[in-house]
Amino acid sequence: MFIILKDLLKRDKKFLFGFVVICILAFLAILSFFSPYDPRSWNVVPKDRPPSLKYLLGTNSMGQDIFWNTTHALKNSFILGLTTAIISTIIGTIVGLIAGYRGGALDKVLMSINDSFIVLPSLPILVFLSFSLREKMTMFIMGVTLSLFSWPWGGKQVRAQVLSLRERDFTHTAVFSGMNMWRVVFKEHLPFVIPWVIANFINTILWALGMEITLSVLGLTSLEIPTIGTTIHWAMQYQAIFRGIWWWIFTPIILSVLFFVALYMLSVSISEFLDPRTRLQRIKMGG
Amino acid sequence: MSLLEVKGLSAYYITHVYGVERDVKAVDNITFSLEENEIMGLAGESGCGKSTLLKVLLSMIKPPLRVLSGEVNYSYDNKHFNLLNLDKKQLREVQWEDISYIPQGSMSTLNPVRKIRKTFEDVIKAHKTTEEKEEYEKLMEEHIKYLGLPLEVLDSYPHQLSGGMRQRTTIALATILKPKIIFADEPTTALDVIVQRGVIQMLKKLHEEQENTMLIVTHDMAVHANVADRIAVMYAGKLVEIAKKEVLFTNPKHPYSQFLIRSLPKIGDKKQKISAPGNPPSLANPPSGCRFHPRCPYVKDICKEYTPKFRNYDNSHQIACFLYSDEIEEGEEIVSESIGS
Amino acid sequence: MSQNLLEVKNLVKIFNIGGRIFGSKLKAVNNVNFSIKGDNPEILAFVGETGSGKTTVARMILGLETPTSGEVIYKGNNVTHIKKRNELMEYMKEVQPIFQNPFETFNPLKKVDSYLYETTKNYNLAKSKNEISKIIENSLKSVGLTLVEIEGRYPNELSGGQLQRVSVARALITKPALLIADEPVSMVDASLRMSIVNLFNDLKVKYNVNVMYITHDLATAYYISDRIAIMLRGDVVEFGDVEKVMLSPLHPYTQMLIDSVPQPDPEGTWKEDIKLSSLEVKEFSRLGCKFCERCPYAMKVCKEIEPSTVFREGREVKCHLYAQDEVDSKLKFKVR
Repeated sequence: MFIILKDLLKRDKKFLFGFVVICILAFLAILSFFSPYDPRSWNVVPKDRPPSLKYLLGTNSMGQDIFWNTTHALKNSFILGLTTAIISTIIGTIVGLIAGYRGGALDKVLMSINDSFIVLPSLPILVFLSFSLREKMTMFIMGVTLSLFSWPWGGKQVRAQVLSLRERDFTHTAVFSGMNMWRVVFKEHLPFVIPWVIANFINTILWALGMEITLSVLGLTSLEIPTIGTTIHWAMQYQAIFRGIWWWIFTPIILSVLFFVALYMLSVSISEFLDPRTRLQRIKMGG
Repeated sequence: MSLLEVKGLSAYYITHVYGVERDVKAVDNITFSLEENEIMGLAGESGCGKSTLLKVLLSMIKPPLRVLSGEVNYSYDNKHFNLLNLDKKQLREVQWEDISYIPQGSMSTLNPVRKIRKTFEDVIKAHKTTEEKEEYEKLMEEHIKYLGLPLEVLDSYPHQLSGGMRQRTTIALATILKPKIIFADEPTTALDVIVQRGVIQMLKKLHEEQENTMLIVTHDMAVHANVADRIAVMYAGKLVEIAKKEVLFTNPKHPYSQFLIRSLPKIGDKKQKISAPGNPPSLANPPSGCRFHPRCPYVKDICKEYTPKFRNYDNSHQIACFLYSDEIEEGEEIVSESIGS
Repeated sequence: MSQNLLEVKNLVKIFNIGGRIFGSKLKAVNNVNFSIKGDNPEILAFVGETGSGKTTVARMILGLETPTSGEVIYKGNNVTHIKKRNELMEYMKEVQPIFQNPFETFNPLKKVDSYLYETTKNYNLAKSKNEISKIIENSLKSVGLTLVEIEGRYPNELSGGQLQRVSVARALITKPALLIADEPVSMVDASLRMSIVNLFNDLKVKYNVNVMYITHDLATAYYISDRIAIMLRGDVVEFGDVEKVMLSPLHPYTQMLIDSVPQPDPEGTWKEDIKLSSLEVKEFSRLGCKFCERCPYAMKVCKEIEPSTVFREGREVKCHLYAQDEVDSKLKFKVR
């Protein structure tokens, strides 16, 4: 595992960039556990101070230290992104693998469920759900809700792959080797499908973060919880730009851009690495 | 002067993947000549380099393939040139009109989204000065009919034709401008037996009527038996034997050729056939010395260290084997004392 | 045992091409009947050109394709539509496939020996690691390989010949009674081909395995089979002992086929030019005999009525020429 990691880091600049940035952001997120201030409290520090040694990223109009606030925001982003991505990838991949392999009635049923979820207009429903659940909407619950909308895309892609994989001779060899459906699907087909699964995983994180920002900026989430979106919301509420408090609004924007770009880089370089064709070449090279 | 003279040709696939360099020695120091009006068969199994050799003879060289050394000299109709020295413009003049190519897998020459007729028109227009519709339509239709193909083929798309029909159309396309030399890469592979017979017939008919020269590459020895005048056998990137067809089939000299000929099954013959032991070598990492030595039943010490020279054994019979000569390939230095059994 | 090992009865397969409204039907397999006794192991060859239906017949016997009608009966049990998993496992234990492309037979991302382990474990043939290794070693030995050679290797590290041997070794682990080999040597190099073909013969003689050998290569079919079936566009046009069918063929298509095989003989030239059919697809939808367009002996009845299969001179033949009781001696044909 580590050899592969070192390898990727050496060869692929994209991976290096993405990996380093995500590591930094993760580190900051972990720092949030050492935060001296409770992120929900206001007026713990003087308001509207620009960045200085004492307040690394300055303070906002509610009297909160932006640096420590941001560490909480990052932690919440990770929780949200990972929750959504893990749930939706697992469901989507399993549905895609089984529907593609079995075909017939099972396929039709699973795909109608899949398609119904795709067709659902995500934004209005999420707006509604956020509105109703407001107070109780923790990052985890939001993650679960968001995953309801993101799982079907992976399902469709995986199924399309499996439809062609199951006709190939090695699938028949596996069947005649006595492998049952689960073994065939996970041991034979999943390795081919992994690049899509990982790309989907990372894209889901991106989508979840984007959705969170959208909903928060619209004021529909629990605004006490510090997230990138709520920070932007509050900064806009207090008209930070016009009042010259640029550090308040730029921090979340720059961080989210960094986060997105880093995730994208990781997604692209991992997919390239796992693509069966380049993988085969590497096997030929003996390394 | 021979129509085509190849001297010391070496072409490798040089790849750099993830920091590892690999040389696939697909064509290694090949020397032979092709005489006017003969059909030469190039035999050898998949991965021996014969398709690569063909590509170099047609100057279809794209990275990672690189020609390291050698000459490909054509000589006909007062034209004498080394194909490897031609620029793009000169190449285009020569390709299709003088030298044409029937590739493996007929789908690649025919544009899948255009009717066959259009593809033929493109070829004719690119090489002839006549733009007159009647002239080239007549040329197309006559050629198609002459080769025994139904006229409906011209108005079809490639996917509407069966594999055999497509292959024959590709042959028609390659010969419409009556080229001097035709190179065919596995023209009958993957075709049904009866269609294969039709294709072989077609090639022979074209050879007789157009009086051209052909080099047919295939691993199927039975096809060579029915079509070739001389046969060249390739193994792991090198030529091991060239002989007249009758000579090769009745009395093959190189051990590999012997295995090749003697393992051929024949209807009516239930005697046991044996194929060569071991496996064909990797071209990236071929065995030292004579590349066939790990599988050769007559291997001597010298075979493991040095490569035998490809030289004349007899009139129009060339061979590279230490069983018949002690000569070592040029460029190899004599290091140890163990030469000469 | 009076029961046949394998009985194929009235097997038909119709494919739907195109949509439901404007599509057409392609009868890929038309009423195929044959049986394998099994008391003396044999090699049965199914020979035909592209579109003859031979691969479809094999796939239906293996269960990879569902017949439109007809039955496949194995050791007295109807195996045409197996639903239950344990019945399927029992059948697969006895009937195993060998595929055409050795590089496709194995997953390119997985090590080749993994299939050997899977087969041994999934059919409960051994419990301990030692026992499993022993079974795999034995199987590999019977195809001329050792575990050391292939252990930990990926498919692209081995040659086509080696891979095909591993494929046979895997199929032999469950000690099957019937191997169905679909063009097993067409993608193997010429210099290794005969060793694989000889291997099938060894399996029949030493291990009592019946082999259904599907190929378009008449020469190797002659070389190892005991009986041979010639297929044309879904019909079995001639079927019987290989010496009879190939050295004195009765059906005009068989005659043309054998005549067209290029013999590896420098003297071997064809005496007549052949006329190739114009657009082969049309032959499928013919009402009468599928071969009548190209047949030198075609009669009026051939164009309208499908011939029935009769038994003549020690083999089955499906042709109107032999519908009468006497066989016209003019039509006998001997190979040079």
